[in-house]
Amino acid sequence: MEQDYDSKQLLKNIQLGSRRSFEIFYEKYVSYIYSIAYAITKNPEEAEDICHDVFLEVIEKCREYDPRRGSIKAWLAVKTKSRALDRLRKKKPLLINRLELAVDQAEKGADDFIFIHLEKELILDALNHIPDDQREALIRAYYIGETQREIAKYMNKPLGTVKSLIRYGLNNLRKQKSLLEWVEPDGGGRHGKH
Amino acid sequence: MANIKHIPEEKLIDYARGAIPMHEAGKIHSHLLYCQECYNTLQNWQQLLNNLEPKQPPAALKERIWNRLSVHQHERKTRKHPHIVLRSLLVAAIIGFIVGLGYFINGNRKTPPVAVNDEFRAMRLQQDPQTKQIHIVPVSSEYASINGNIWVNTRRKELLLEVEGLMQLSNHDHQVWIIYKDNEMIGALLPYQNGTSRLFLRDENVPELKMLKGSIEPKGGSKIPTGPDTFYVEIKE
Ligand SMILES: [Zn+2]
Repeated sequence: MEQDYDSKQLLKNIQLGSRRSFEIFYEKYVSYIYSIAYAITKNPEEAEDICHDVFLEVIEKCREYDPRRGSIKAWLAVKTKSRALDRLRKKKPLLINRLELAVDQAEKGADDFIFIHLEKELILDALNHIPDDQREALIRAYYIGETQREIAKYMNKPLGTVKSLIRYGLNNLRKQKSLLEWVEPDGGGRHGKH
Repeated sequence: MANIKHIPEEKLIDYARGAIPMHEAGKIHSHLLYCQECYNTLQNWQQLLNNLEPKQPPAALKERIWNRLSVHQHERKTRKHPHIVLRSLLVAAIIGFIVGLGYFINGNRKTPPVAVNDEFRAMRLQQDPQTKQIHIVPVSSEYASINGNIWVNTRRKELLLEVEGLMQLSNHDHQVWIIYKDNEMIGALLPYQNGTSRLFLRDENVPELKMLKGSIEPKGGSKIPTGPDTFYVEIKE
């Protein structure tokens, strides 16, 4: 808690323009924030931008930090997670790349976060126009959380086929999404319009 | 289910990190025994944190954040002026080019573009096969020495402007106008040194850009273009 008191003081000093406090605070937490942002997005540029935004946000809103809820580190983790999920929500190509990476990984890391927290409609929508078996494989993998082995068993198909179905499905999703983006620009750009 | 008092997510993260005092840990533990929701949140974090690979962002990030912070502070100070709201922006620090400070002079657009001082990002933009490069055109023979390019990429929502041959002016500043399809525009001072200027910007509205033009304006910048115009570049689909 002593440490958190220091960090909160650092934040206040930064607000007052202290470069030195900024350096200390930055060095103390940057790797932690960046690593979480990277684990969720798997994209170095996005992770960097998330870091940027989280630092600005917490410096700006340092008064909102409530030690009764947890440590500064935990507070930063929550902020980072919510910004990272926001980006996946808004940037479909990023999301699809992320899903693709999750296909082969034995190590799950942040995957559950993504599939639990992101609105199902976001992807289910896009899944409407792809072949049935690809859709089923994707839904089982990402929403029901079955392993590829389990999917192979339920769908009564070899494991290799399931892997291909997921991959084709994602590719289809990608093609479809790039088409959609031409028709209907997305990404929260122009205010109000959707 | 109505009035269950859940454990704050931050506490669960500290619990996952093993950073909770003994007496509190017991309380959390007993809540987790019956609350599936908190238990799931904890599990998600445990999974994430246990597999976390420690990584470092590029070194330039620190400066980028600090610069942005300084801009915020500057904004707070200038907000008091009723007519000109100066939106500061940092200009790309580019190898062999200049580092300078430019200001966006904001119209009524709610979200001013964000300029990023990241030379790597500018390089990435230039290398992206989907990036379009367009030459800028001097408005008259008087400004024939001006030449340069823009690199624009609607997918990345990024734009890089590079202008050479701007003459140093003692009583005026060079300004660039970013004009959108709906004819809204934003003006920014063009920092230049030895006649060269680079400006990198990232803006959700890049796909909505119509053209950029340069003009000579009173020192400190103008809210609307008064001219004379120096160059322009049209962005076509
Ligand atoms: Zn609970």
